[in-house]
Amino acid sequence: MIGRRTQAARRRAKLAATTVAITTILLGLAGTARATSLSAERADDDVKALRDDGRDGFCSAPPERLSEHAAELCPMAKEVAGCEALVARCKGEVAEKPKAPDVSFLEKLGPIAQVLMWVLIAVMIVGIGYPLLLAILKARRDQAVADPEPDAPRPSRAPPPEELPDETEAEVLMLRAEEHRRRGDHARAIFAYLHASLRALDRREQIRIAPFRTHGEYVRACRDQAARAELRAIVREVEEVRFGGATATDETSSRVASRAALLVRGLPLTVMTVTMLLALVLGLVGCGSSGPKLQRANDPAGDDLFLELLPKQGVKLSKERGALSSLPLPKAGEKEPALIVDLARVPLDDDSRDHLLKWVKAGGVLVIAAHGPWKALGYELGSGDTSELTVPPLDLGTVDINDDEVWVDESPNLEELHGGLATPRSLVWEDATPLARVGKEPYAMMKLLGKGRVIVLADDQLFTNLGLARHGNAGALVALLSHMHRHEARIARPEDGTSPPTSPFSSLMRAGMGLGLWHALAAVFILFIAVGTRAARPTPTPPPQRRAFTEHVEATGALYARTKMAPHALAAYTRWVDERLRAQMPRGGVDLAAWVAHRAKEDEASVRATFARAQSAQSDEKPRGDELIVLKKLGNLYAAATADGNVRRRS
Amino acid sequence: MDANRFTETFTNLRSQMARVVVGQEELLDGVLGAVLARGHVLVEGAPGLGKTLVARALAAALGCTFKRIQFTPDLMPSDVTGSSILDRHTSGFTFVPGPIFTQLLLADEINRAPAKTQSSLLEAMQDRQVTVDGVSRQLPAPFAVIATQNPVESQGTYPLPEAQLDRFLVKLTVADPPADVERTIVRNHAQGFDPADLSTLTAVTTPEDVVEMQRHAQTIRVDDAIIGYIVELVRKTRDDRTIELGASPRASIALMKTAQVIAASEGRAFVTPDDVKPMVKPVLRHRVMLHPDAQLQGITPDARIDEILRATPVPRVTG
Repeated sequence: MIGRRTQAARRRAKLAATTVAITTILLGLAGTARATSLSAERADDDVKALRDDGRDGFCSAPPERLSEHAAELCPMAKEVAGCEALVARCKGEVAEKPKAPDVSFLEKLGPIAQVLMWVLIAVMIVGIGYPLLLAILKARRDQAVADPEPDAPRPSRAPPPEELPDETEAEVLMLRAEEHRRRGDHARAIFAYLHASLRALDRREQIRIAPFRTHGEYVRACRDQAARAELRAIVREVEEVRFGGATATDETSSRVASRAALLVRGLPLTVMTVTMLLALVLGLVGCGSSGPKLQRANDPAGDDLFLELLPKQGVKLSKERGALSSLPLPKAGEKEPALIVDLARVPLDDDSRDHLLKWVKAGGVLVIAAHGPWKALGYELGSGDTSELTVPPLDLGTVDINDDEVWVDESPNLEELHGGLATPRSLVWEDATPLARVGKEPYAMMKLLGKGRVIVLADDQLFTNLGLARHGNAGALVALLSHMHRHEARIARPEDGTSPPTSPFSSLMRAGMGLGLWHALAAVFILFIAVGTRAARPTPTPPPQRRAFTEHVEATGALYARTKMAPHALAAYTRWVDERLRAQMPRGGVDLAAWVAHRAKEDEASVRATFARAQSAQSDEKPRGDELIVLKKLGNLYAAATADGNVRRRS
Repeated sequence: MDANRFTETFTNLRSQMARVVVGQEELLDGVLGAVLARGHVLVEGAPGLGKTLVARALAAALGCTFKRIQFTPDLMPSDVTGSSILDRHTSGFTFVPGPIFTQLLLADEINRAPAKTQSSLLEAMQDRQVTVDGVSRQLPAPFAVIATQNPVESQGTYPLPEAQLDRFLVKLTVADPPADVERTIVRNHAQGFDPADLSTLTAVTTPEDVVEMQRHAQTIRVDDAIIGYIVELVRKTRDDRTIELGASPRASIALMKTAQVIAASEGRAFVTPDDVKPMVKPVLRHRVMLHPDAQLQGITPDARIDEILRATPVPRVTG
């Protein structure tokens, strides 16, 4: 089976190559090509005409520094007429190529680098941990302020903060102050200016506004020295009016207003302006330092000649308008323009590659100039179902791109097509049909996939300005592209090979910033915990929770036991029992012991004795030893007397 | 006396005292402020922290007469106030003034004397006069008592009764100095400083100047909002469940007076909440009596006063 397939592939390869060779020869002979046909013979003339028309910058005025890609093409330069300047530049490039620096000494710096790395990590940990610690401490302080201990005076007893303005935004308070000032109410105006200043400083975390803090404490707490001086001056003016009985004048409010404006508006604006200017300057400096700009037309490795050659050959060329991963699939019966992708310029991501495969199978024609490791892409393109190649009848004229197939049995050598390369490269592509060879290795191959086809060149040398300028290469390229069989072609731009991200996160992940993204999210979460809660809306303080009664009793009992204050415990409990029982006695009742004895069904004399002992207990007397027994008896009597609900409850 | 002169004199007094007293700025301010507010000072601290030195330096700087009484268990009231003795020449009784007849009196370790002797100071502190054998004698002006007591020892001591504690305008606590301050103190002694010899200090004022400063401090304006704030603070000590006995209205007056002195020392003619707040603890800490339960839980008066300060909004301005 494998042998039969290999034989068939070999037959097809021979057929295709022979066809191309014959076609190329015939193309050279055909002088009456149709306008819509690719003409290999005319191709070199077209290129020459383009160069004469001023597209010769890559030869006559090459850039001072050749790119790596352009340097690879240098061997072709001497074969191109009028390219002496480029030849000279290529010599310089070779001569100036710097040697790799000796970095062996860096190995000795390894331990130092390791230490520095640990120091950096420690600094980062401290950088994250320190704000977190500050936040925890601040939260504790805030908690202490917000939730006083249960025994502390109730906040509700404090004067209500009705004097504090409702507005929390400094700008709103500034507007309010200005309104007071316009009305001539200078006292209120300067008070509002002070509030605005405090709010602004609080927002910048210079101070922390709290009802119990004084203006002097705000001034002392302000870390920004400039802001502190301004705030101190405002406080002095305001307190002189508020507590000193001075009269606020227009002059006073004017002074306070200018200082408040500095605190509320001035400093942030200044900081923002300086930051923006700095960013602009740095940006401009950064842009300017990128070295001399490379003019594309002057680049030997550019594709300007290629882009202009195809229209001259009757092919309507346009640039791809969107991402290759969203390329619409060809419809049945319609001939979609061929797509030319130079992988050296248009790297493909996984989505684009998968979609192109579907696109080809649906009837698309794809021309690829390979770059780098071709094997992976070739494997993927070959992984689908392949159709048997059909050998079309030969057309011994020009290659009509409307023809279905042109195929020969033997693929020609590129030199036979008058082509030449600076660096010979070849393809490895299983089951593909060679279109041209370099030596014995295939340089250009084609494979039919589904309803479409893929033409692959080993590299893009024939697409480059210098490559096309070499006599014969234009004809060879046109001969190879004639297998597109399309009047129209689209060329992919560098950005087309990257499929658009579905979300900002996928965009960052694709850019290799996934780990950084998670770190940033963690940092944002920590920052939110640290300072974000300050921006949260104030929530009403929950009422202080009462301790459970049993917990209170246990704690009190433990305290009495620890301090050996049994008499005090008995006296306190007796007072409590006495008060509760008397509240439940029937109206008019006076004899508590008799009522309890009746309710508890106990001996009245015994109850009287217990009550007498209990009521004689004093907090400061010495323990007699029977306190706990009496206390327990009293507790039992109380429980028995209040056992059922048929007692009068305190209203 | 105008505000500028008050401020200048106050600053000079502080700097003069600071020449011999190192690292006790809070104590200096408190003592000076209390004296200028016509009050008396109770200083609590371990021995050797410079309490006596502060009192002597203050006397030297103020130019006032200074006497010291070392309180002991056998000290009699007459040892403080003086007594009438038989004069052989006149065959009559002649009053011999006790050490209390001075302008600045240091009552050292006041809690070592019994309550009777302690009480001999009550009239002097409150009315600035002494009654002996039915005759009242005015004390010189200015008159201020600086009493010290040791918080550690309890054997053989007589805690001051609440009534007498209330007579002290402020109670100042002296903590151990930081290491660097202690090094400076030792270095000064190594360079020949003798705490017994304060001849290097010069009097900044005369007793008359001090009286004038006291009068000026009383003229400082206290807004109703400030009075409300002071009263609110003091009243909260009475409502606090951990405090068995809160501060009296005398505490409110004391707080206002000390705030007036602070305002005057800063050259202001009015009191602000910033003048009140730092004096709340010195004025109230000895006037509140904690509930035994709170004491057992280790709660201190200062801690409760801090809570009260946090729970009391300062007077705001209306914008």
